[in-house]
Amino acid sequence: MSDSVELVWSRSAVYIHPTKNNKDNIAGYLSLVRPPDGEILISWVPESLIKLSKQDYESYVQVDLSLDGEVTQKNQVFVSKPPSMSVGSLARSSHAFSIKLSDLYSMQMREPSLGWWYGSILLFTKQAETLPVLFFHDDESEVEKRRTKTMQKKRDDWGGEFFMEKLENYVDIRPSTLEKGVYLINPSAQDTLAFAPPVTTSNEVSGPNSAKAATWGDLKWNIFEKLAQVTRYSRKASQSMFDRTPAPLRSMLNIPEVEQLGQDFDSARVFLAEWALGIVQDQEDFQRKNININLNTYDSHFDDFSIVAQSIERRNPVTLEEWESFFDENDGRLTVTAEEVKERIFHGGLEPQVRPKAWLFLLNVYPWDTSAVERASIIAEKRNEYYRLKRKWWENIDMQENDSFWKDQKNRIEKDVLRTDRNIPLFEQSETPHPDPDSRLAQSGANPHLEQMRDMLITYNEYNENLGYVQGMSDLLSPLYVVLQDDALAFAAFCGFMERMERNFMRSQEGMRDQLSTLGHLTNFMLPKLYSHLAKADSIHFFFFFRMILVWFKREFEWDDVLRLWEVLWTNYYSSQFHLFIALAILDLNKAYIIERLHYFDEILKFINELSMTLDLDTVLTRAEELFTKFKLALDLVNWQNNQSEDTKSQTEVTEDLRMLLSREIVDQREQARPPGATGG
Amino acid sequence: MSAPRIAQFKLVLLGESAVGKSSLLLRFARGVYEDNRESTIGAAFLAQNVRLEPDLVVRFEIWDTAGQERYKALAPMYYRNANAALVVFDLLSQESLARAQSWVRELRVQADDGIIIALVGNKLDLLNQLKAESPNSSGKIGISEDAKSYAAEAGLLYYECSAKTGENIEAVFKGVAEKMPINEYFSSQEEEQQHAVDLGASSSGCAC
Ligand SMILES: Nc1nc2c(ncn2[C@@H]2O[C@H](COP(=O)(O)OP(=O)(O)OP(=O)(O)O)[C@@H](O)[C@H]2O)c(=O)[nH]1
Ligand SMILES: [Mg+2]
Repeated sequence: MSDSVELVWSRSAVYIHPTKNNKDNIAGYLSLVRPPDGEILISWVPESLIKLSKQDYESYVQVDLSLDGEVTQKNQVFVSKPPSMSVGSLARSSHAFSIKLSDLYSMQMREPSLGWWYGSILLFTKQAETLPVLFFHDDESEVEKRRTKTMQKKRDDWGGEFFMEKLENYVDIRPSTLEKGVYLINPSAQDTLAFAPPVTTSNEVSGPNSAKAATWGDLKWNIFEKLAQVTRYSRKASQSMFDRTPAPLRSMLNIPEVEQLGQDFDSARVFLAEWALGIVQDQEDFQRKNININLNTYDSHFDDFSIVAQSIERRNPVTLEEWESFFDENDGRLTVTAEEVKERIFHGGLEPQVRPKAWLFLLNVYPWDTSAVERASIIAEKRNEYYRLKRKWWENIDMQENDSFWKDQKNRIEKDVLRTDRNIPLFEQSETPHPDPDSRLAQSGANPHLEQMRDMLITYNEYNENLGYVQGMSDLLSPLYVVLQDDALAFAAFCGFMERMERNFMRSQEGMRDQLSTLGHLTNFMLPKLYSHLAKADSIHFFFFFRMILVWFKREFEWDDVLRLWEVLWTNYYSSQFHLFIALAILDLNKAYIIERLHYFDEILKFINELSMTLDLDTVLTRAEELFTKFKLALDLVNWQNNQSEDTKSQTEVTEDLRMLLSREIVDQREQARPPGATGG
Repeated sequence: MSAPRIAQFKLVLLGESAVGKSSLLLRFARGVYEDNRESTIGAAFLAQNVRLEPDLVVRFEIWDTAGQERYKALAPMYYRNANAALVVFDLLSQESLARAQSWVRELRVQADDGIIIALVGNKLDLLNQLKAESPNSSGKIGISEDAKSYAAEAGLLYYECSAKTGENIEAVFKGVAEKMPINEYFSSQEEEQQHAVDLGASSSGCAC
């Protein structure tokens, strides 16, 4: 077995990108192997090469899938020796390489950016050779898919981290305190001093003008300034610089000062290489994905923007069994993070049996970090609270008989309860006559659920004095009551829901106006062609989204889909205002028709109205997630671009309301005290 | 027989919540009635034809608005450029008549000058039922009289109907259709066509 090595760790879907063209990307396995002499090698081999031997291929797959790629002592796996074992040499034709751990000088980790670029690792040898950049296409990795399914996946983790974790078993890895993302491997004392000096406790930043800057700091800033000039120049001049990875490096190193510096201080060369390559590669990524920095052309570029670094897929809803597995059997506390649960709900939603449990968390009836005992006591409290509030108006005969506002509101509530979701079995007409024939609800027979709905809404009218009951609220309450089937809990959940929905019902309409205006800005930013068409059609007030936003698409989707959509939105997973991305997705899915056929506000309003009950929820959700991803990267891009140019005039302004869309905190907009004489809604 | 001529007009439904605007429209356009249909949010749109003569059809593009007080501010978007408005009230609700009157005032100020307004009392079936239950009642039932005299004073068309039974629904729309400026509609159409022809002739040069 002289020609075989032990496969210690392996990972699939690690790519190299030899050219800017995606078609040339090569899939391969990154692995750690132990030859008979015992010194571990890092190797990367194209998948096509591995597949030449069926046995090898099976081994690589097996090790990749064995719980984060680890193999136990007992079941060692052997594979053929990876090609080009000689230290640091590249097998040009196949791009395969392998290097001894002892030859590894440093590495740079570049985290993935959702939708923007894949996470990647740059390895630097002591011989200052440049190895191909390794890109972790985690969305294609079988292990990652499994980890996602089994809820092990954390929000930000990625393949490179696992590689580094593994590597730590064999070498000393020290992060550079000077440059984020750069790690020194088994650094010498000198290197440590140069690249990883202890962070000083003073807040002083080493900058070009800082007199106290350390020696290396001075040098570094010097180089940075030079590099900045070069990259700025080359961006304008030509692409040739980026054609081959080593090229920019070489030209950087040819700058006399840098060359001098390199001779003075050899390890600086490597540091510089890492830093420079990082920048260049990022720019290549920009170009690779064919994104122009000119905002006006975003639209067309996004259209053929086919790579989103994390594939967007809907998943199966959370089953009762899965839900229960999130909690500790004994004390009922979450054993995973709330973040993970929310991610799961965001991408899959909940099975109907899970909803009564999960919705109480999602609607803040109780916090995620509670034990079962604590939750029971919170429920008891909420129950008391509801009955106390209800009794307050129930027993106030004087108000019921003489307060015209109250009577008015009760009237309105009853009218609306009679017209809310009456096709749902729970709210069906009853054959049994109502015990009180004078009640307005009597026309529906004795259906206690209608009475409960009325009582909850009247109680809310009393509880939130400033806002009171406004039409549309019954639409928001009804799904909660149908799912929870408990008036006190539904009331508590409704109060939680209303925390974020209060802005929709303000007397001034301020909250609705803000949302429609933000939707306008968002459309302008993301779908500029459509936006200018809407402007010509006198429609940029976006009033045709009024209904969708007011009651969160309740009238646009079938009942079951509404439940699904709401639980997705409640997670605030990407944004507390993800509903605006739902609206944007609906526009995006229909933009071709709108641009081609609809030229007047009336036509557009009619068209949007008639989309009701024709929309496929999964399609809309997937598109909304894609749009969010693109939105986020567009903002990153604008930030990056603005940082590049000192000229404030050429900077792109992004309005605050758009930046707020990245926030996961709910927008807190509250109604003012009810002015005397104001009628209800 | 040749295809009928079609004149198209915009009509808007206004009135307090739950007086039966949507029910009335659904009865007219689809011939159906459903108790406890959902309230309208924003506005809904339907188009429906009324045949006035064998070869003349009035086509209404109808906007059904939400009656809720809170969203009243949106109404101008819908009655803008409207040729006709049905202001609906509930024949058993004094309050709804008051709301109807305030809509009429608003339309007079804000809407197009030539707008035809009809005051429509709905739920006639309930009124008839009440009357039948107390045939000897000397006191007046409902608000028919008030509404009728208000309509006469204000120069409005006036109808009473029931979306539930369908009684008088056709008459409402037919009555409004007859008031539409049909001749003006066709002559402005002709003008437009003539304009187009003129342009065509001048651009193709003299043919003599
Ligand atoms: N008896 C009777 N009831 C009616 C009639 N028309 C409507 N209704 C009832 O009145 C209620 C309200 O009717 P809608 O058509 O929804 O009222 P609307 O004016 O469109 O209300 P908004 O959309 O809130 O502005 C419904 O629950 C109907 O059952 C009628 O002609 N007779
Ligand atoms: Mg209606």
